[in-house]
Amino acid sequence: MEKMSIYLVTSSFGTLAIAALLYLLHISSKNEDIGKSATIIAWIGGVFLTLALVLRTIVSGRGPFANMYEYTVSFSWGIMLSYLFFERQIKSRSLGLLVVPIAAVLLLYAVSLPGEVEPLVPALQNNLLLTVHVSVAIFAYGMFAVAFGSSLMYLFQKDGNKVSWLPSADVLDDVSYKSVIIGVPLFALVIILGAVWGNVAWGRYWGWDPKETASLVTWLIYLGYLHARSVSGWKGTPAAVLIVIGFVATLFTFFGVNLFLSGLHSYAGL
Amino acid sequence: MSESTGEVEVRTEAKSDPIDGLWRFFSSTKTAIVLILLVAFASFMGSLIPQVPASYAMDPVSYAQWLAAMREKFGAVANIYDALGLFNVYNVFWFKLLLIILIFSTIICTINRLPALWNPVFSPRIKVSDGMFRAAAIRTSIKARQKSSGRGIPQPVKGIAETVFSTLSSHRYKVFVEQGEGTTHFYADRNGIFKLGTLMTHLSLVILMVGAVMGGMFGFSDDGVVIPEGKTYNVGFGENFSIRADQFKAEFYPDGQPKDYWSDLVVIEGGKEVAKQRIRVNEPLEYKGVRFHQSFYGPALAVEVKDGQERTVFSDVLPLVQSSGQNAAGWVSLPGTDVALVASLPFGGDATRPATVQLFKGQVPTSRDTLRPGETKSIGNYQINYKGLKSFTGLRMVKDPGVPVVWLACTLLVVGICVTLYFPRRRIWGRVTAQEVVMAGTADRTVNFRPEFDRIVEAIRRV
Repeated sequence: MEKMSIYLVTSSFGTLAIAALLYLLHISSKNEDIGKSATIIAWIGGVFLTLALVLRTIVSGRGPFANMYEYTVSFSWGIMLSYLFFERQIKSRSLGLLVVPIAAVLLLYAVSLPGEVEPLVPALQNNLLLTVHVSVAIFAYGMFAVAFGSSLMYLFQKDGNKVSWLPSADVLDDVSYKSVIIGVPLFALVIILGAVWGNVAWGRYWGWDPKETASLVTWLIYLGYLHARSVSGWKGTPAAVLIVIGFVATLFTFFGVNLFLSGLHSYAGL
Repeated sequence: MSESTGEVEVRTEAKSDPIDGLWRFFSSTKTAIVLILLVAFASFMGSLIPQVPASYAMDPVSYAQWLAAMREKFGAVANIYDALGLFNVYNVFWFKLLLIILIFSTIICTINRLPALWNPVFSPRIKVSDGMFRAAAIRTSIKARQKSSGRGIPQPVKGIAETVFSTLSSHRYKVFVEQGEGTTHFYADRNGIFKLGTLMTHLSLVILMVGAVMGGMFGFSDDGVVIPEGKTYNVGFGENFSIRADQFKAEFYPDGQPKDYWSDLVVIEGGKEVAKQRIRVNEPLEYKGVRFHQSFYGPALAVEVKDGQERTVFSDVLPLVQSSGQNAAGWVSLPGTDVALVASLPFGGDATRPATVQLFKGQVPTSRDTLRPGETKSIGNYQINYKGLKSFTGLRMVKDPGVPVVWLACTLLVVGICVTLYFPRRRIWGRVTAQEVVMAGTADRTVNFRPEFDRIVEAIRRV
């Protein structure tokens, strides 16, 4: 079953890569049929990923959240879930051009990592908190990835709707906002659940550990975006730039801290 | 929130009072955003630049050693980091000052906005000027239908007003009415009460800080409580109970990764055993608000030392707390002498591996030898008996009465954020006369209000 799960991850990478290509073809040709098949294949990729994670959960008897391989696959799953949700919401497939490749690249990276099921070190031996803390994080990261995709497109589109095949600037701005307002409370929950766990395992709810700090900074960036938008009426380019910066911080929180810095979260490395 | 409704209060005082100036500075959202960004930036530096471990920061000598290592790593830049406190960002005075200013700004922003948050919710302005109607971005005027009897008698104002109010109510608006001469003024809002979510969010940050300060003021913590197996540790900090560590055990996976480790702890109060628990990393022991967390562990040596006259000068379990290279090491100064005993033991290997014992007179090493468990050797002027290998358990001891306050703050924070984000407010002002219904609307920037407004107008028209 462990092998099966790894094969499924590899095939979902292939599937999503094809889906990304189809999104590109659909957008450049405006062919509705190609678009539909892109969506179907993206869904198939999503189902493969879901199966891979379910199998892994069964094999290991815990959530698939114990090392970089599992985090990355889960991250990719969260992105696909958020993306497919928004594709239905805005009835436009153009976001797929940017967001689906992000999920595919993450899977490619995961495939390059050692994928064996590893036993848990003592600090992680808290099934409830491990599952809730990390799975909420996956949803939040997924939302931030969608916001990044739509904001990046916004920056090409600008206020004049220059690019005819992209959704209008208003729609993109709206998608960014909607995904951020889902992501921000979720990420607040991630940080708080982390604090609850830190308090149980390490005896303190906050210790400026690199992962804690990076998460806080990431969250503050998105919070800055929300304030700028509601209080100062920021819309458009500056807001989109802030979201792009926010996603860079998200990636740093996700990868950078585990790979380049040592801290209490470094068991989550390779 | 300065919405374009023209109902924003204009402050007219032009005094250059310094307190007033400060107030305005702290109540500005720009100040708050800049402060948040500064804290974020400083924290970011703190996660990029290595931070000095708390135990080194307190001791000038170990800090100097640590700094020397950093100089090798970063070169001259290390001196700049050191001068700016960037090696200890979270404890440096300017970071704490920044946090205090941020709390201050949060409090002032909140106080400043209280009336602006409160009044529109509970006692909104119902009658507004004509100018406001003209200026509103979203507005409409519905002319009353003339009765088909041809005599042109307009419908009674009351009937029209009822229709408008019930339509608004059915769209989940709360309607406030003020009766004028021949004109009925009304104000309606949806999600008005949820505007207080902002208040909740900002208040929660203040409560969070209160919780953190409570922990610092009424609690205590010690990261490095070391108890060798079988020994008792006096808690101190004004608590009158002690902790005995009966046993420590560690298990490993075949690849050498730790699998599980635990300590059996007993709480002793007034000479009696009052509590007992096996603690693990995720399962601390709590007694009278003091928690004991399994944090680290290591070897401990049972050692007996006799001097030339066969007198026992030391007989105890010596925890090897330090690590130097491939060895765990520990030292003790022999009571009544100026001699210190340093013992070290390689990490890993079986229980019979030899330990190295070295004697120091002052800072000068005098003699050394290696012993296996059970062996007695004469080292220097002393008979040293290595009685056996044991373990010590390393605990973090903490009492933090602020924790429940912190959780309360966290709950308020998340609820406040959700309420603020998911329930944006819409407001509609209007006048009903015999001839027409005039309505103007506004909503938080995050809502696409026009379709909703149009739907309401359409619903009123149909009646």
